[in-house]
Amino acid sequence: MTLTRAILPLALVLAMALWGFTALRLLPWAQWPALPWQVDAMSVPQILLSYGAMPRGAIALLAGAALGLAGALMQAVLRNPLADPTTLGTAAGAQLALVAATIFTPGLLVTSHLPVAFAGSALTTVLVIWLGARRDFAPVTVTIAGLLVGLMAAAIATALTLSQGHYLLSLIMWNGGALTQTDWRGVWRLAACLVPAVILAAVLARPLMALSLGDAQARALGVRLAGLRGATLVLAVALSALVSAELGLIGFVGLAAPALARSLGARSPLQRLMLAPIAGAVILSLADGVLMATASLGGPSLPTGALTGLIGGPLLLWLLPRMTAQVPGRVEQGVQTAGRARQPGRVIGSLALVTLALVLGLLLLGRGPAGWGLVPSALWADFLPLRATALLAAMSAGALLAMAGAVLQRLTANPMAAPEVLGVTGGAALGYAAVVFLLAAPGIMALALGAATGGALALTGLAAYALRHDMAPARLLLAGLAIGALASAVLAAIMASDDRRAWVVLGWMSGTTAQVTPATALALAGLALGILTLLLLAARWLEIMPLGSAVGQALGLPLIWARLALVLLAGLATGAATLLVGPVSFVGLMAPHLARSLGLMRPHHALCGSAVIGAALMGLATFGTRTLSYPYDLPLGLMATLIGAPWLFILLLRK
Amino acid sequence: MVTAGPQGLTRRACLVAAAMAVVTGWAPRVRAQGVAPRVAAIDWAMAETALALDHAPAAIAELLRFRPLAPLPPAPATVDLGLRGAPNIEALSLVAPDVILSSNYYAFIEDRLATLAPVFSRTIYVPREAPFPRVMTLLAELAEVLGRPADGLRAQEAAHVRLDGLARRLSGHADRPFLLIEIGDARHVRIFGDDSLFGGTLTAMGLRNAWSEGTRFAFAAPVPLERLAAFPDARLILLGEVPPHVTRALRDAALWNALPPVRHGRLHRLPALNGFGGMPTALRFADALTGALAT
Amino acid sequence: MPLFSVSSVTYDVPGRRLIEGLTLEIPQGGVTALLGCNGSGKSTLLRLLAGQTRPTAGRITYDGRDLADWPIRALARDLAYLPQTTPPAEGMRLQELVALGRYPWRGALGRLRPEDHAAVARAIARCGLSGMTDRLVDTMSGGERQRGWIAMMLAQGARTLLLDEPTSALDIAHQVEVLGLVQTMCRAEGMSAVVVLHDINMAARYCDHVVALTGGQLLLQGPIQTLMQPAALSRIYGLPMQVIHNGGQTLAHPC
Repeated sequence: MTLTRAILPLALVLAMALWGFTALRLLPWAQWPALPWQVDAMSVPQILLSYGAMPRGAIALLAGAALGLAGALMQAVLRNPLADPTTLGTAAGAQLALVAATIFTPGLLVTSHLPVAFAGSALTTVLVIWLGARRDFAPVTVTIAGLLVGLMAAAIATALTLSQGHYLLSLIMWNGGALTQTDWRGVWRLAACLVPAVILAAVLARPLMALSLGDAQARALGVRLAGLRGATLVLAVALSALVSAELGLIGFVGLAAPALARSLGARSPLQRLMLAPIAGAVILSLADGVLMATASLGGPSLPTGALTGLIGGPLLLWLLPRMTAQVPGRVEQGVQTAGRARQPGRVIGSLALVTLALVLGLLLLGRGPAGWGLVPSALWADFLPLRATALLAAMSAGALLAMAGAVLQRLTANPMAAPEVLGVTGGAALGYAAVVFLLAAPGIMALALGAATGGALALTGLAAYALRHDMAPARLLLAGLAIGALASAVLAAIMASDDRRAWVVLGWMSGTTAQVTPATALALAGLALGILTLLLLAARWLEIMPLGSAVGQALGLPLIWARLALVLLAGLATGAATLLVGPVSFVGLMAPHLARSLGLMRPHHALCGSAVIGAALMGLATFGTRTLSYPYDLPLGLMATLIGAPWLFILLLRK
Repeated sequence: MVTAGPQGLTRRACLVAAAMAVVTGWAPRVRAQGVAPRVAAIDWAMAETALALDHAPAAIAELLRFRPLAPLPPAPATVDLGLRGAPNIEALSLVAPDVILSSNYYAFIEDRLATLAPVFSRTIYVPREAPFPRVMTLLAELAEVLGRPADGLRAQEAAHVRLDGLARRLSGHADRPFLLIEIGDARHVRIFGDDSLFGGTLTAMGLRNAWSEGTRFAFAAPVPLERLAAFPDARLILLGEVPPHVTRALRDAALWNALPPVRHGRLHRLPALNGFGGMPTALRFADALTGALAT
Repeated sequence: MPLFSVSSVTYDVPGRRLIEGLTLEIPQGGVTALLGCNGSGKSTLLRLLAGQTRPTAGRITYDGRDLADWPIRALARDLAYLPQTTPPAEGMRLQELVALGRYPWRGALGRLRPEDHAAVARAIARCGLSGMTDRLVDTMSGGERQRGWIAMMLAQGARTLLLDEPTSALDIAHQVEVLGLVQTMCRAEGMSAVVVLHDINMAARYCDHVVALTGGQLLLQGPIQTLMQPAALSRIYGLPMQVIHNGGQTLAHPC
């Protein structure tokens, strides 16, 4: 106990020692400038110290404190120990808004980044909270909704960045979250906002304590819920946006700081709100101190945000088993649906017919140098094989993702489960990046192999972790989330290196059908059919699993092995599709929901329906990528996201 | 969304399609005989080199962004092929090129391109290797491919002459090393090394690049602004435009203003140039540098 | 041979011991009530009997064979368990829910044969739900839904039913209906049932044996008559109780 209490002071001493080491290597103590500083009379090393290293040390403390407070506020108001600006999509919203502003309205950024960052953060956070409110703010669902909204925002931001080629150097650094400073203005701006924020948080502490008893209790005690929620969230989002605007994406400090505060014995909301900023300040200072010291010794200068993200994934895994008391184990209810179809076979048949008609239309219709039209028959021999290949590959990928989503949603009894959340896509992205960086001129096969290996490793890690906890579905989702966070942190660090090869990875991440060969397309289609067959054989498992583990076990289901087999199948399907579509597409989330809304309820109907819908969605998406900005191919994953995301929100918001 | 039903493949539909083809300007490919080869350029250095040889490519990838950066104007009727990393194969096959120009960057799509026409590809930019000699050789090699070897040698000769002339005008500036940078945000810059086109051109003109550390493909990763303090003697050459909010932030930044090159007026600005260009961009850089230093 | 034989069973969760050195026997045939106040370990014991979790120490035999040695599907054909809260069976018809009870017999791939369909129909009929086979389980009333789940247990063909507070969410009429059903099945067909209950009077009326726990330890076991004594009841619930005999009925309530 005494050791845990000593952690914070010890870490602070260590952070200060690291800073002092860097500063003294920069300039011996005797030459440090005396106050007041006269810029004109100072030597360059003196300026580097007093306008570089010093404000950097200060801003690490302040930004860490702001993020720690933001995380503590979000966790208190949502009663969710997993909430923080990263998991609620707040930071990704700021990223998207800043990227869009940099490209379309640079004038908005001249005086300050804050209003733009705040607008973006608020937008995504409100969206996530709104989705969460429909599910009683169940922690796992809110976290997954936040992650998905964040992924979507990041996907759009990536596509926008790509559209600008090499010229958005500032965006890349921002994504990495660099703490480098060249004057004191950032420090003053942060301090000026942080002090009133801490006071406001102290005022909110008592009503938040009442809220920790639950909505009904808090209302009975006379707390105005809407006002309290609104005020707390605005404060938290403002703090997060402030850090985003000043420094960029610094992930997981908001998650780690309250967790550390809790493990140090802060039980009441007031204690947590006051201790979390201190913990956050120490965490970020320590991370930045390590980076400054390595850079000063001649090591690489990595952005600090990449390091905190790297710590964040393992941290989440470490936190999960210790959270049983706070994460309710109850099954989170599914979406109410329009009712069950009387003749599901007919519904699937008509879906298939519509899809077939769609295929013919998409093959023949298109856009040429002078406009829209049908392909003339003289060009069929040249064009149709190309289009058929791309279409077959994309539709197979869509079907694969849709089936993976349908399986995961049944397995976890959680309507927000999606292949993106499984961490497979993150692992695949890392594998792809590794091949791009290790081989001089990698071919398609090497890249495919790399991505497949990465996905398989992530999946194995996930399965191994979840097996130790009996593959409990909530754990599975959160572990996948942690792997995803780890992968995106590594990718951010790669991007921050601004290597040309990073652009290859970025390009792949938004997905393209341009390089698919007929053999690949046929292989994908074969895989889709094979996995569909296997899943249809497992339909009885899929019918029992949503009823929970007690019923499954009472009926003699080999729970662990059944879950493992289904997760592996879903992972295989996701990995294969990811090779083509890139890590994010949302088809795996959307298609099962669309199938449900058509009344396809039983496992075999839902699987077939989801597969057909997924194929059709992805087919439409390829058409969009090919035509909308001809001759520039748009990213396929982005297109699928744009087609499906509005649908998804409508479906989720319908009670 | 218009979709054709299963009965859409009738004779009547074909006739409609043919009519549409006329309306939309799609023409079946016709291969020209006995005239200069039609060239489609995926790589920009290749496109520039072809333009330098007076052989305008019929199609260039990412033409939208190439035009404003191109040192020599592409022909008005040039076809845009879409993204360099993912060129539109349909558009490319409509162009019906006799040869496709590519580079090591696009090795991963070379097999695909080769199904449409022979591909001429050369390695140009490689980490820690000077691209300048490669760009010079490329003039001759591409001229050979286009069947005009004499033009290549002439272009090489002209480039040498032009560069030597500019170098003589700048010989008075050889006293200090040069630091070629691009501004990222108010706290980070890219620094161009010897394996960049600009660094190489600098060396070819008898000037010295202050940045001798390793770079990855042409420029060093975004480095913190403070690294510039290590080069108090250098002339600072700023390439490309600086975003408005960065300009504002730099104006007030103590460190930036304290850098000796900035404090003593050794900061020069050049327009945005194609960082992965060919000989025409190298010459344009030399031109712009001479112009900037002369004022 | 007893139905269940529990010897020196201890069960721990991190930081807490829920059951300590428990030794008891549950006889074949009839309904056994599992009683105790909140936190006494009765639901945990039921989960241990169902093989849902394994004891930390000690052993449990079912039908003379160690529970750990029962293959999982063989056990499910003999022993059916209903958790305290039944999960939402979204979009599932009654017929389909009850048919899941045939999983232990046919596994993931085997086709349902005529005898399976007959077993499903018989289970539904015995629970008095024959007219509702096509109803969505979601739309049924609480009592109907509970009987639906019991029908699924019957379709399993099990000799033994383990029910965790099957009446807690039901009104008195439905409580009588569900417990009456369990009692009838045990009496008429020689089945056995172990039921966790809160209501002593319901236990007295429908059960044949009783096992009472407190703090994870055995307090009382024997025929139901041993329960309905003021002294025994006071020990279970920690407050003075009195017992009234009223025309063949025995009723207990606090003094």
